[in-house]
This record gives sequence, structure tokens and C-alpha cells, in this order.
Amino acid sequence: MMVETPTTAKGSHADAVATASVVALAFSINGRHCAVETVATAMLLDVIRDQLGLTGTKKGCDLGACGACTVLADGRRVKSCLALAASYDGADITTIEGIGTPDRLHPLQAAFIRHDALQCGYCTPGQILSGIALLAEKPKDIAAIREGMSGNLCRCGAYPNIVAAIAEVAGL
Amino acid sequence: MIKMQKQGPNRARISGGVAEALHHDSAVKHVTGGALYVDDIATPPGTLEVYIAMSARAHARVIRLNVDAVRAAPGVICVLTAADIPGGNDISPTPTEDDPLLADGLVQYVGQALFAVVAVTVQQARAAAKLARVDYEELPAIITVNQALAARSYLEAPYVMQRGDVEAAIAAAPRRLSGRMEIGGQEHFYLEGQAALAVPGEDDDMGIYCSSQHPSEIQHTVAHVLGVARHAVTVEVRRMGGGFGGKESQGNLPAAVAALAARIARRPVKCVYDRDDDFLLTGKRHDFRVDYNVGFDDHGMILGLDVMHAVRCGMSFDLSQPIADRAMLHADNCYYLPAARITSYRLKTHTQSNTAFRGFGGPQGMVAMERIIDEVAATLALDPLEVRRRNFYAHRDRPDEARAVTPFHMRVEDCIIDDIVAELSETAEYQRRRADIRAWNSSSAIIKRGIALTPVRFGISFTKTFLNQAGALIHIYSDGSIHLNHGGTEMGQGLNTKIAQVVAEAFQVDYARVKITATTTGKVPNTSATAASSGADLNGMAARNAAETIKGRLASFVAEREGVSANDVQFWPGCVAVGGRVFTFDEVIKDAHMARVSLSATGFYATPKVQWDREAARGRPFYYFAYGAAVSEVAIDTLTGENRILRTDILHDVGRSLNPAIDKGQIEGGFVQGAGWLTMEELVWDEKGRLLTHAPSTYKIPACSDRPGILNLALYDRGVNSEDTIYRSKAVGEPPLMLGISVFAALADAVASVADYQLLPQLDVPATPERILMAVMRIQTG
Amino acid sequence: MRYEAPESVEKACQLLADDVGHARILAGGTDLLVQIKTDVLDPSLLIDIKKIQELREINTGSGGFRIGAAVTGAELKEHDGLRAAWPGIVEAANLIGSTQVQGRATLGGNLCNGSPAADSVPALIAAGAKVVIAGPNGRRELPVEDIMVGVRKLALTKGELIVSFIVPPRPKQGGDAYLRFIPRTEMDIAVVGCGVSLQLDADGTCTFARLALGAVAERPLLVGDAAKALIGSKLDAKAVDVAAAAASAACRPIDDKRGTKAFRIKVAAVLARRTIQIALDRAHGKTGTTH
Repeated sequence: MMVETPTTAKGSHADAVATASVVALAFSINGRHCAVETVATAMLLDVIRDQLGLTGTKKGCDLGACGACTVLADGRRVKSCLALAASYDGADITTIEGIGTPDRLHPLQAAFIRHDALQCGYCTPGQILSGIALLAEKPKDIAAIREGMSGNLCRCGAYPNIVAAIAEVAGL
Repeated sequence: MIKMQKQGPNRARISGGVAEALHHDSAVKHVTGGALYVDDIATPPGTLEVYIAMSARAHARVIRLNVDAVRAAPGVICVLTAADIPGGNDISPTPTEDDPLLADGLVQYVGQALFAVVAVTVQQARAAAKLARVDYEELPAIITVNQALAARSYLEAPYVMQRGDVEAAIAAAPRRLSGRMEIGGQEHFYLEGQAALAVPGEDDDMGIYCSSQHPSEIQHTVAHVLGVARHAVTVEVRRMGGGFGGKESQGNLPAAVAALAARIARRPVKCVYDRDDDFLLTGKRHDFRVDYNVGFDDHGMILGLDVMHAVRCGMSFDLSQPIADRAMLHADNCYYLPAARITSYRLKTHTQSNTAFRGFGGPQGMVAMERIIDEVAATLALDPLEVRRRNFYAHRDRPDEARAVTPFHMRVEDCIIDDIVAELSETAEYQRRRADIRAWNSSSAIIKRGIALTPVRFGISFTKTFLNQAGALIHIYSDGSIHLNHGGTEMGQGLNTKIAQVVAEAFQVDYARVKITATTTGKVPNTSATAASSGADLNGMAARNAAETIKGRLASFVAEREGVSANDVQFWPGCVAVGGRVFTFDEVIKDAHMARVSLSATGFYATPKVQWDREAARGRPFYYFAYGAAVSEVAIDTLTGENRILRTDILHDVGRSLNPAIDKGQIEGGFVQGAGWLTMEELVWDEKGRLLTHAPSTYKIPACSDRPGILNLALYDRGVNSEDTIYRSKAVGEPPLMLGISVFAALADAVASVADYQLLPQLDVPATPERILMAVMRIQTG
Repeated sequence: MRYEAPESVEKACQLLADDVGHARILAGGTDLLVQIKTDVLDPSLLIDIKKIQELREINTGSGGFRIGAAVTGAELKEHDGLRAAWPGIVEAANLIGSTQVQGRATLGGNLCNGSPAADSVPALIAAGAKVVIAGPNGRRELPVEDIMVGVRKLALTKGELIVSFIVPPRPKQGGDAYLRFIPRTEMDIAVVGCGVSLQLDADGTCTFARLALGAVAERPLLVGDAAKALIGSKLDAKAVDVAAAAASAACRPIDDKRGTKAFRIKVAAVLARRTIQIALDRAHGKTGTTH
């Protein structure tokens, strides 16, 4: 007879959560100053979604592989599900809500619509933030776009249109 | 009232009608982050979260489950076990009653829901779950297809489809070959994991917001588990972050657990799987072993085919019966088989209960048939495309009774695959490139290229005939704005956009006037899943019928008022014309309301012609077929097995497209997903039944850099559905997935070049670099 | 769990030494945070080293490089001098994950994570890089190949912290390269990684060579026999054959999942050959990158 607890129950991280010290953070989010108190173990994604209520940033795999949670931190793209919030104290964070609005779309947002570069839409905010950072890196050709976007998965497979949208804004 | 313009309406065309390439209706919300998924909904204060604790054993009796310490843990509100279920402890999607909500004394896979912890936060719930004491008494577990076959571990008796004397046909054939192919499963990896929010109401009411392709089934399941009437449960689905079949039945568990928790805690409860848990809890595409024995002549004409499908179903039926059936129904793909027998074993294993996945068994049946064709061609040193063409079903316009009947005794009346293949092989320059590749390979020592053109013929309709029905609801408000609801669900496939186009077209109003609303069981009841590619076919017709009902009332009203016959009333773009006068649509609506005309109607549709005698394996399970073909060119590194898709050309038939932009997206996406299944997505369980590839770091789906270097895609422009479907369009959700088979066949072609095409190497699915390298090494050593 | 972000190496060492539980260094966090989330690790203290300036810098002097342990792959790529001198190291560091990850993953983190499959490690070993370690008793140096002693096991003692990597000047007529192979199905990241560094004399004879393999044993390996086969040769087919065979022979894969062991051994030789060729091309002054 075997005795054991379910292997898949994830306890210790949560235990740590329960006993984690609280840190006070201040950062700029979409140009707005913001101060939050959070546990030391909190990820940037959870602070953005749960504490700041900005749900445009999505939780896909929560393990840094799919890119749905991509935000910009001081201009660089970051997978916010694997970014300790505490280490972004003082940073300048941009989420999808800070990119454009329905009546004032960012050129890349408009290009995504024009090229039908989305289906279910779940990966789209992350794709756009990643694409904006990539545009700042001035990709030299289509291959550079394909490579540079490989950290953002789209299970619907809208890749051809995603690449086309970024290429158009890049002037390629 | 506007004055009559003698020549006709003031505008030639409405904006956003049928056949326009409109963008997805939520596109602006998607690019600005405004689209809400279940986990984005602002929850009521006091909402709790639930964590599902899972079995650590593949097959075991649970001798003791002690959750005292779990209950006492910080933040925990309650712990749910099978004993807490007021209704039935079953969430199976078919009447098989073999999917317990929470295991009751017996666990049958690693990952099976054992108990659930309700806490203030899911982190607390998860931490607490670890404190449970579970005593298992391990039982023998059956994990693999071969173990299950050997043990005769069947969910049900083997099922056979047969036409003609197969033994005699194969025995009499001038040539014969036999083989075996192993076909792996596929994880859905919808980017939005399973999610449900349950909000208790007064009386027994329960509101569910969830990410499901099948709201009605969620409703039925929740009602069953809670022991209440279905009218007490309302299920709403605004959209899913991907479904692909994985949210047809697999949403039952999180919704039912959340509802049970909400009932007991008397507070709203949210259940959102994390990615690892989603991999472990949910079923996947079925993995198959296919054994075949085929007789053919010197020209590659198939004379007889005997095929065995061994299907790993997992611990319960779920949807395995219709999935395994559909694999058989596509075991012929586009090819006429004078004598055929398909025998299917539905294997019970102690693994996740496999479930629907885009194609629903069809891809497994089809890839094996394409493999058989390639082997026949290799044996005869013929171009596989030539063998394919020779064996096609009779063309729609060149009826040949002798070559039109399937192994399930259905006459194929709409076959246009010859036309598609002829056009595609021309535009993609198949012959020239094939010759070039062979020449190139002879001078390239390490890198080898391959090319293949494979066709697809996919049957459209639910094979369970009763499911081919749909409902819709339209309200026109007194300002002329239109509220549209239907039984289908939106998972990115653009269904809502298409249905709104249909309604706009029916009323001859601009698309912008039509508001698409979340799918809810409170508006359209007793719906079928949005599955089997049928979403637009069924719901489009139902919505059009609802629109026609209202139009009929409006026409009667206007005709009576104007003193003409209702037949003289015409809906023109943005207006209604009657007896020489033209009224704006808004005016007519306002007047009709004042005149007490009902501006709300339901619509209903049931697919005609389909009938299926499953016992006899005869009939017409499909209303029609969708066709398509793809040519892929690949390169492999014969020293490492690494490979790349260099170019893919696709020609696909969507009939008369309701929306070419959306249809093209479905085709590209289906192809990418199919190619992923066939080349890189590999599921591995260990001998204890533990899924080893349960995270994105170990289970690889196609990334941006994996798409073909060149992808040319066209809709078949002569496409028109032979049957009277919605605006003569064809379903598009699943068929394109099987276009990915061209990549698999091209990889095999590239490997075959190593031995100068003298033989076709054994290659299983997925054709990973490792498998490709091993195949190269095998044929190098002869 | 506590979080600290000290601004000096000394303070970081102090925190490490004082912690009675199990403190961990947080650099980019791309591995560590996954391990915390999935319960592989449960640290009592996280010491974020990104605020320590010395760890964030790349310094050049006397032709070589001193690379701070918290320098990211993306920052390495932006350093023209390093890219010109040691393209293999820069490429290896930029194979760690996607672009988002490269912006965060650090050289020190890649080494200290203790994975046999760490991409940057074989490239650093091939280059002959050393590690500067700070601890309660001051600083010491160790060759990179001596840091990892087993899966997730390091040759660091309590209170010690990796400060920087010292990479020698690029040898005249020298070249380096790194290649790796990832079959889609593998449980780890790379299935085989190979780093090579070479130096030629005026007539093209190899005077110096180092070849290191990742992911084929419990830790990255420096394959001495491969170097022996190359040194003194003109890197002709025969010498490369012997080196490739030595690479295969050195493999002792830790698992044997579905033929992967045989696969790794075979691919190690293929990669060794190809990596040697790229390093040779670079030694001859042919530019061009592999990725």
C-alpha cells in the first residue's frame, strides 16, 4: 500500500506566499505613477492583473514560455509572469492598456486589425507589446521578425498575418 | 419617408454583408486588451477560488482520504469530496456515466480529480491540498496502446465498417503490402486554460461564466451534479481564448467543481486551471496504432484495403466513440476503395480520457491512408501524386456509380478533388519542382529535400444525427438596432462575425447595426457544441430563419398598411421598398413597434438529408464534404534530423465564402496546427502513466519561426456548395488541419532520397528530428 | 520568503552568509522563478543582485574582458568588442530562451542554475574563461569548468557569490563557435551543445584548441581528447574525425528516454565537426554568424 499526498499539489510556493514579507513598490504604469504593497514573491503579472485591475495582460502558461503576459519594462519586453514584482521597483512599465485606445490605435494595433493578425485574441496583447519592442530594434528583414517574435506563441496559428502586420509597420 | 428613387435603392450594397472580408468583430478589443475572458471578469466581493487536487496513481483504490489538515489550513473555506455532491457524481458528456466529478474510491489516471479545496486564494487552496493524506492500493495499470490491445482492454466491442469481400480482393490483387503506423496524440494548448466562475443566485439558481464550446452541456452537467432542474442553471460564454475541441467536454469539470463549491460555500467561486494542471487533468487528441494490408495493381489502383485502428481512449468514453467512428469514416480520405474493411478497437487505458481535437479522429484516419498511398507509389516507383489521382472518387460532374461509394455505403456526390489538385499542382509547379528536388538531392550529401501534395476530403455534419440542429434569437429594438444571439460559441474562428454578416444580409442593413451578444443558455436552449466545423452552417441558418420570421412580419405589416401584397415588399440596402415607395429601415421598425408588431423571433435549423445507421455502418452521416489540397517542400539535415518547411502552397474549398479573411485565417491556422501535430508535438508518458511532457518547456507547439518560409494560400474560386447551405458556403474549422499531412509526406520523401527512393522509410507521427534521424539511419543500413 | 536588493558585493555576501535558511541569488530569474513556482525550490531569502553595479558591467582591459555575472544575453549582444572577439560566447548566451528571456537571463544565472544543458557554459569553457568568486574570505578565481560539479551542484561555499567572468583576449588567428541541438521533444533545453575555441599558427597548424560539450553528462564537459586530436594538426578531415569521435566517446547521457541516448551520442559528433568548422572559418578571418 502506498501512502502519499497528490504529487501535483503545489504547496511550498503557496506556503512561502503565506509567510512572505511584504514589499512596498512604486513604479510608473502606462505613464501613471503607482504605489502598491505586495508580497515579496508576487510576480509582476499578478500585480498588474489582480492589484491594478489591468486585465489586458494575459496569463497563458505562467511559466515564461508563451509570451501572452509580455509587457514593456523600461522599453524592454519582459514576460511578466516570470518577473518578480519587487525587482521592478522604480521601473517604467507599459501594458497593452497604455499602447492605444479604440479611437486612437497605435500603428501596430491598426496593422494587426488590417492584416487579421489575430483569431481568439488571447495572445494578441502580448504579441503587440513584443512587436512594438521588436520594431524599436529595427528588424532588418522578415527572418528577423520571425525570429524576434518566436517567444510569443499563437495557438491559432495566425503567424503569417502577425509577421505581415509587423513587417508593414517596419516598412519591410 | 424618403421619396421613391425610380431606379432602386439609394445604395447598391450594404456594408458588411455576406462574402465581405470583414475583420473579426472583436479585433479592436483584442488589440487594445479590452476583450474579456473568464479570468478577466470583475468578480463579486467575496469570490473564492478552488483548486482541484489530483490522483498520483494511474490505477488504484483509494483506501483512505484524510483531508482534516487541509480543512484546518489557512484561508481554507471548505474541502469537497465525492461525498459532498448533492446530485450525481458524473460529468461525462455522453450517457456513459463513467467520468466522476471527484474520484470515489477508485482512481484511473495520474491527474484525475480527487478532491477540491475552496479557499480565499487559489495559492492557499493549493498549499492546503498538499496536507491531505491519501492511501492508495495500487492496481495494475494499462498505459500504452499495445498493452491495452494485448490485454483486450476495450471500452466497447470492436466496431467494423465493411464494403465488399476484402479478403478476396486483396488475395486476388497483383500486388500487396502491409504495414503499421503509430500516430501520437496532441495537447490542445489553448492559450487560455480551462476556466469557470460560478455565481449562486436565489433558490437553486446558479450562473456560470465559462470558457466552453458547449454551454448547454455545462448547464446539463452542473444541474446533474447539483441535483437541480436545468432551468436553474444559466451558462454564459462570451469567448474562448482558443478551444480546438479541448473545450467541448473538458470544461465540465471546472464548471461543475466551481458550481459545487459555490453551492456549498454560498459564495461565488472561480476555478481556473494553471497550465501544468491543465495538461494533467484534461484529455488530448487520441493516439492511434494503424495496421494495414492493401492489395493493388501495377498502376497503383487500390483493389482492397483492410485497416485496423487501435485507439487509445483513456480511462473513460468521453467522446471517444464518435471520434473513433470518424477516424473510420475518413480512413478512405479521397480514395475509392472497391473493397474495404475498417476495424476499430476502442482501448481503455489508465491515462487522461482523450477527447475532441480539431478533426475529431479524421486526421488520424486520413494520415494513415496517405501513408498507404505513398507506400503503394514507392513500391511501384510511381509519382505518389499520380497514384493519388488515379484513386480519387468519381468527380461531381463525371458521375461514375462504380467509383462513388464509400466503405460506409454513402454515395459521394460532390467530389471536386480532381479540380483542386489539378489547379494546385499547376500553380505550385509540383512536377517541375519535384524533378528539380530530385536533381538537387543527388548532389547534396547532407541536406535533402522532399515534396508532397496531399488532398483532403472532410465530411461535414455531426455523425450523431440529432446534434445537427441549432437555434438563434433576434431582437430588433425600437430604434432599429439589432440584438443577435445564437447557440454557437466564439473561440477565435470568427463565428460571430459570420453570423452577424448573415443577419445583416438578410435584413439588408449594415453589419454595424447588428450587436453580437454572449452565448447563453438563457436565450437559446438545448444547443449542440460548437464543433464538427458546423458552427456557421447550423447557426447561420438558424439566424437567417429568425431574421426571415421578423422580415415576414414586417412585410405583412407594411403591405397591409400600403395596400399591397406582402410579396411586393422588398428589403433593399438600408430600406424597405413597397409599391413604389421606400421607407428607411428605422422608420419601418419604429412604425411596426407602434403598430404592435413583434420584433423578436427565434430561428431554428435542422440539417436535412443526413441519416446514419450506426449498427449497420451504413447511411449518409455527412451532408456534404469539404475539399482542399496542399503541397509542401521540406529540407532535412540527414546528420541530425533537423528539418524545415521551405514552402507550402494551399488551395482550399470553402464553397462561396461567407468571409474570405476569416476563412483564410482558419486555413492557415489549421495547417500550422496540423503540421505541429505531425512534426513536433510529442506527448510522453512514463511506465507509471505520468505525463512527462506537461509544460510548455517540454511540449513544443509551433512558434512564429516554424511557419513555412513561403506560404501561398488561395481559396478555390470555383467553390460552391452542391447542397443548400448558408449562402452555399462550406465549413472551414477542421478540414485545413489535415493539409498539414503534406509536410509529413514531404519529410518521408526527403528521407527516401537517402536510399535513392528505393523504399519508403518507416516514419511515425510525430516526425520529430529524432525519428527522422533514426529513419535515415535505418535506410542507410538497409 | 524575504526579498533584498543589496547594492554592493560585500553586502550580498553578508546576506548570504547570515541567512540561516536557504538563500538564493536572483539575477534574471528566468530559471529560478520557474523553480520557485513549480516548488522545486523554496528559498528563505531572495537576493536580487541587479542593483550591484560591478555585476552589471562589461570591462575591457589588456585585450580581455571582465563580464559581470548579472550581464544579460541581450547586453552581451550589444557589446561590439565582445561580439567581435568571442562570437561563440555571445551566440551561446543568446540561445537562452526567447527574446524576452534573453533580455533578462544572465551569464551568472545560466551557470549557477546548475543545469548540464546551460547554453553559455560550454562556450565559456572553450574560451578558457575564469570565474571570480567573492565570499566571506575575500575573492578567488576558478576555471568555469570547475564550477559545476553535478546537476544543480556548484563548487561554491556558504556565503560565496559569482561576481564576474574573466574572458581572455581573443588569440591571434583564433576563433570560437557554439552550436546546439534541440529536438522538440526533449525534457531539457539543449540536447547537445558544443563550444569550440581554436588558434592557428602562420601556416595553419592548430596550436591551441578547447572543445566543451553541454547536456551529455551530469555537467558540462571539457573534452581533452578532442583538443589533443586537433592540436598540431592542420585540422584536416582525419584530425576532425578523431576529435568528433572523442566528443562522442566523452558523452555519458543521464537518461535514455526513447533512444535519446544513442541520438545524443551521434549528434554530439556531428555538432563537434560543425562547430570546429565554424571556429576554423573564424580563425581564418571569415566572418559570418551561425544563427
